[in-house]
Amino acid sequence: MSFLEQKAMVTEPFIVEENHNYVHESIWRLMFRKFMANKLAVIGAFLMIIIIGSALFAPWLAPQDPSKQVLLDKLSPPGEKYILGADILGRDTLSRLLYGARISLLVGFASVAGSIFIGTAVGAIAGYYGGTLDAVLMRIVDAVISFPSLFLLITLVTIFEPSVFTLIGVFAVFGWTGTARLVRGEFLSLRSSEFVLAAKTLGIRSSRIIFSHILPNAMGPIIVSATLGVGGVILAEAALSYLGLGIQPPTPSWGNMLQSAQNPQIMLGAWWYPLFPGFMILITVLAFNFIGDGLRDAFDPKISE
Amino acid sequence: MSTLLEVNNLKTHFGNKRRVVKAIDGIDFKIKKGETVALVGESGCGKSMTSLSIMGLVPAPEGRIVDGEILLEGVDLVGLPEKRMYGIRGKEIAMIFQEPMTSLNPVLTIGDQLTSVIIHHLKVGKKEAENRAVEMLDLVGFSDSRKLLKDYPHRLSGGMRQRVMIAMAMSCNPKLLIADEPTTALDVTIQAQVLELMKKISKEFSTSILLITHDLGVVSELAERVIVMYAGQIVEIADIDDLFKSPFHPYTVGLIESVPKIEGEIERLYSIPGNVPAPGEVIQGCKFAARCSKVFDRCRKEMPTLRKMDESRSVRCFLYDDEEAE
Ligand SMILES: Nc1ncnc2c1ncn2[C@@H]1O[C@H](COP(=O)(O)OP(=O)(O)OP(=O)(O)O)[C@@H](O)[C@H]1O
Ligand SMILES: [Mg+2]
Repeated sequence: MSFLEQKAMVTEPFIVEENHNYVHESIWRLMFRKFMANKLAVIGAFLMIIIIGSALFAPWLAPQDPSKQVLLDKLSPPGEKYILGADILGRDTLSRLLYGARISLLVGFASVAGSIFIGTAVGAIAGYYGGTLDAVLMRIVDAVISFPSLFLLITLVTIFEPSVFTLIGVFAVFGWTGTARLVRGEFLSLRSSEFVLAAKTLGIRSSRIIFSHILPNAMGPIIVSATLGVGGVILAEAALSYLGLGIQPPTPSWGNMLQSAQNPQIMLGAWWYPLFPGFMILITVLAFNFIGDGLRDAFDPKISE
Repeated sequence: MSTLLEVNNLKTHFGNKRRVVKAIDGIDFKIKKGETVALVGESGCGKSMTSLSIMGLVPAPEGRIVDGEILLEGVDLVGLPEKRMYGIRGKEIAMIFQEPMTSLNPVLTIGDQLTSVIIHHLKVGKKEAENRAVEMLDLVGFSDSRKLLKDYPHRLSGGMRQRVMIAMAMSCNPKLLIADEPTTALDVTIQAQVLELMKKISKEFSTSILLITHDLGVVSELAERVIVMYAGQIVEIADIDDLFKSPFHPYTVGLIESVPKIEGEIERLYSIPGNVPAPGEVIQGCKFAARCSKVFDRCRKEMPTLRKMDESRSVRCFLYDDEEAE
């Protein structure tokens, strides 16, 4: 003790307060600014608001009942009565597009919510605990990736009526592997970061470290992959519907609207018929991709201002 | 003064059966209540592993404690269930690190990080935890602590973050504070502030401090006793004044020599010749023999033991062996 006592003086003011300009700009504000700096992302977000808005308000916006058939008006070109024309059964294309947006977006969001949930849970556990558990979980990921999901889907569709929920289920169960790998990588590098070690030395429990300390740091890539994922699912739903394996008529989805145009006569004679649903798919997927890229920039700590 | 921490024959190894890295190869030391002990040695000698072993946070499964005991007030921490360790880390033993820029979570506010520790250990409500947090931030020298609670770490400088870390580590009044190179990453004026702060803490709270550093200047500022480590072993333990006045072990002599001194106009730089043994290298005899200026035959054949010279001093070297003295 002698050494300290020699040196011990009456406690004096020992710290010169450093210049600390309190610019209370939170991380979120900064990210918002970075997102807004990306023009395409802003356009994407703008389109997205319009698309989601029209899906939500479809019952008020739709000029007609989407399943009302007026056979006399079949394949009417865009005009006064049918703004975007009528389909082969004489149903209003605009109304069907609006209601179809609901289905396509529902399938997109719900499937991605499911697959992100599964993928994040599996990836977090694998990455945080490592070792044998990690090895086992990653082999399961490999197995799911190599599973011939299209054949399972065809089988399911032949046995059951392919409902919106089967479709969501299938997309969720087969779509989580990418997220799992991504989240695992994030956790793998974050678990050995100094702030996680510091949290451990303070007695914070593993569960809390996973959820409150690491997960928020991995949120950026997760949100980006979710955003891109929604576009992917909408595209996949369209592809399946086009093959007749997706949402079944009379429920309108953009995919099955395209499918019913699958006929050279219609394609050539009534060009507007496949054009509008195809255009909506394109715009929506593009919008999600633009937003995803914008979010990626916003979350990237390296791009600072 | 009574003993707070007693480490006996601690061995922490890495790797598998085929290749073992003996990061810590049987160390013994004690820390008394209220005392500041420095742990010095070159990079890779096992200083950080010593602290992680005490914390029960040796990175598993590659690393593990294979032998020995770590007694905290008589309770052996080795093999204690994780559930009990949650109550000890941050409450009985806390730690601060070298890199203040990365040891705070970038996405949580200072307030969140501080209060969660206080709530966890002191079992108080949010309001009370916040008051305690403000008290701690005041203590480490912030003047606008209440505002600081809502701030994210990226707005703070390195020195400020290190003070936040100290506030966090001290918030539950631990008996032992382990500081792993707490000032290495800071510039000189900030270093001095942090050292003053640690001095004040050890005095006011009578917290024991295990100060890990390779800066002997920092050691002389703060520590009362010094433990010198080399390649996973302790080579010398001495009171601070004895160590600087008459270092025993040739390695300690070398360390003190390598502190830059200005003599007249010429700055003299000395470094111990050779390199630390590679991790996992098997060495017969004394591990320092290859770099030692006083080496003789016996050093290359046998491993010297850590011999107690007197009450406060031990050294691991044949030069101080009775047999050799004859
Ligand atoms: N994950 C690991 N796998 C294998 N060996 C390791 C691992 N971590 C540490 N070691 C070994 O443990 C030894 C001690 O490392 P430690 O981090 O304790 O050194 P240190 O004295 O703190 O060095 P520094 O001054 O650079 O911080 C090193 O020689 C290293 O080889
Ligand atoms: Mg270290």
